[in-house]
Amino acid sequence: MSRAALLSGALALLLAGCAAQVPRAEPGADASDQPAEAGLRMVARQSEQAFAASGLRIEDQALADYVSRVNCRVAGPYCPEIRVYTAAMPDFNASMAPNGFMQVWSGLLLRVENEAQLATVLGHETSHYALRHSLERLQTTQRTAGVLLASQMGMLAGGVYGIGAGPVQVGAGNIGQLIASGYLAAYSRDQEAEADRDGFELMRQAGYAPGEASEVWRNLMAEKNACNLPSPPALFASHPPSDERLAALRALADETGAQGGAGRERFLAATLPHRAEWLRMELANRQLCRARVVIERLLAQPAGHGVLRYYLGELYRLRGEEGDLDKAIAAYRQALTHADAPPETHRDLGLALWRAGDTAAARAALRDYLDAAGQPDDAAMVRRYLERLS
Amino acid sequence: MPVTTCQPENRRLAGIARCAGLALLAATLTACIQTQPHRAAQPDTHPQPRVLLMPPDIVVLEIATTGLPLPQAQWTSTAERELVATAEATIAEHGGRLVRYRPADGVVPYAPAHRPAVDLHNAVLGTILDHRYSAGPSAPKLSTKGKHLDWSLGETVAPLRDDYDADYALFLVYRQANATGGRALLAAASFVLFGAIAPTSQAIGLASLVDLHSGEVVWTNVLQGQAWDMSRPDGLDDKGRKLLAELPL
Repeated sequence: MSRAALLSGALALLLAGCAAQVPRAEPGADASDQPAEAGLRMVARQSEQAFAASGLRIEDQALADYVSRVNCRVAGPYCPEIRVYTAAMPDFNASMAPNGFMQVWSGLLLRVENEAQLATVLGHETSHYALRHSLERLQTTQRTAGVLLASQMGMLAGGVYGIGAGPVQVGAGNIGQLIASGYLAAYSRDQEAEADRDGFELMRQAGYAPGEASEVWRNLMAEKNACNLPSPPALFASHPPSDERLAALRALADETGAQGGAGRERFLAATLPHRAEWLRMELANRQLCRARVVIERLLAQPAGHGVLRYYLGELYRLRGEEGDLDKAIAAYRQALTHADAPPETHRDLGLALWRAGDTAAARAALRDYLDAAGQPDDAAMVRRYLERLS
Repeated sequence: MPVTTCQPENRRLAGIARCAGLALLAATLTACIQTQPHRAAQPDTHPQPRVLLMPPDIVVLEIATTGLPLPQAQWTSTAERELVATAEATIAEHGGRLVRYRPADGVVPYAPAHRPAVDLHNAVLGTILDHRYSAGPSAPKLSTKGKHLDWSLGETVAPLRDDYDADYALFLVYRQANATGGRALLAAASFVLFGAIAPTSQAIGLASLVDLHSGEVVWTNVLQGQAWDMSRPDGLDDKGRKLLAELPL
């Protein structure tokens, strides 16, 4: 066996012993006797303070209370330690800090379809907290970094003092780094898988339909595949969807065979008032393919079609590909057949018709806008448009 | 641990931690203490100015042998206690009187009425640091801004002034990283063997004084150098005194 192989094998053995084992948190326990955990909680608290004072927080107490109630249902004894914040941020994301500071992004609330799916995510995040994954990761990184450092120092020393043949030493060092990188990445995936399993159990015990857990990932995979996003796309970095995770959650649901509620009505009552703003942010994020997948999926469900059709029209207007102007006009018109279409639908339909050369219809739509919107901020501008169209 | 005062021509701040951020200064910290005070024209004050000490923004880390930064809650708490005591003593020596900010209930320590001033101060201090303290050709200087200190938080400071009957607000930011013994040994070995410099202990303190009558930032200072030795309780007092030595009260 070559020296390089021996060295890399020794490194692999060393790294295999690096995984930190951290016991599950006792509900209500503080971290005062654990300096590493206390330090993590300290910086997490500062991060929470900055977030809580920032404009990213969705200022709707009813929504915050609703999400917190769902979290308490799944988090059980950990409920008092976890503070859930809803953030006005596009994209699917949620996060948990080691002090119980949880963020749920509006892009996630837009994408999950019911309370059971929301509970799946909240259970997953609560599991990161209960299983003390931040501390575990820190300790593992420390140990792995120690081994890496030793290998790098050995490599440097070999270079300086000429111990062994140069290529062998360099090769051993590179292999060591590769092993460590893979080890850290695998560790992270292990934590996600563990949180998936633990979170699934929390949502199931809370009485939610187990089959909804895998739906979260199925929808994300559909979004990812429809838009040919790289794998794993940066936007999903914290919760990479994968066939593996989807299959694991499906298998868990099949094993339990239990029934439960989806809580779709409660979820819609809390989130529907925000859907227009969340869609606006998704479009502003310029991930138009992903936004289209989300809108079309939501259109397959019976709620909020006026808003959805309006933003589908906006999506086509922003995309501006061949034929999109006609698609936008059609979407705006469809939106206006629903009572919840925003007043702006008339205005944007009017502007689209103007661009399409139908000035008479454009005038009518802009007048409808002024009637429907009352005294909008852009009334003077729209009247000017009407003058130009007359 | 002896403290060396750098000569002005040797002063170099490669990058200042932005006030809203939590990062330490980057690479070019030297093993010496540097202070760079700036002050505006002194405003009219009461005979014994009341100085409102805002909640200090302090983080103390330990740098493990591997180079990983590990936040230390206990050390941070100790550092805060020491710095506040030093600030109180220094303000008294300058003829002022310290008034402590009463943290609000909840996660955010500031009352909603005070947040605009705090947020604006963070943004303004960041710009002051960029403009006045950053060095090098790529430093983000403001071409139309002179050398005098003429930055203002405007009317946002009124609630702080009125709620505390205070003349000034003092903001303190302190970041420190202490290397473990293993890290220090590694750094020394790296330098001797390979000529490579590994980051070890370092610290930076920022202070700014805001006139609550005019809203102007009347004084700022930056202290940069070696970390406080956590085994010496008087070490931080020394740093705090240096940071606040030229407080214009």
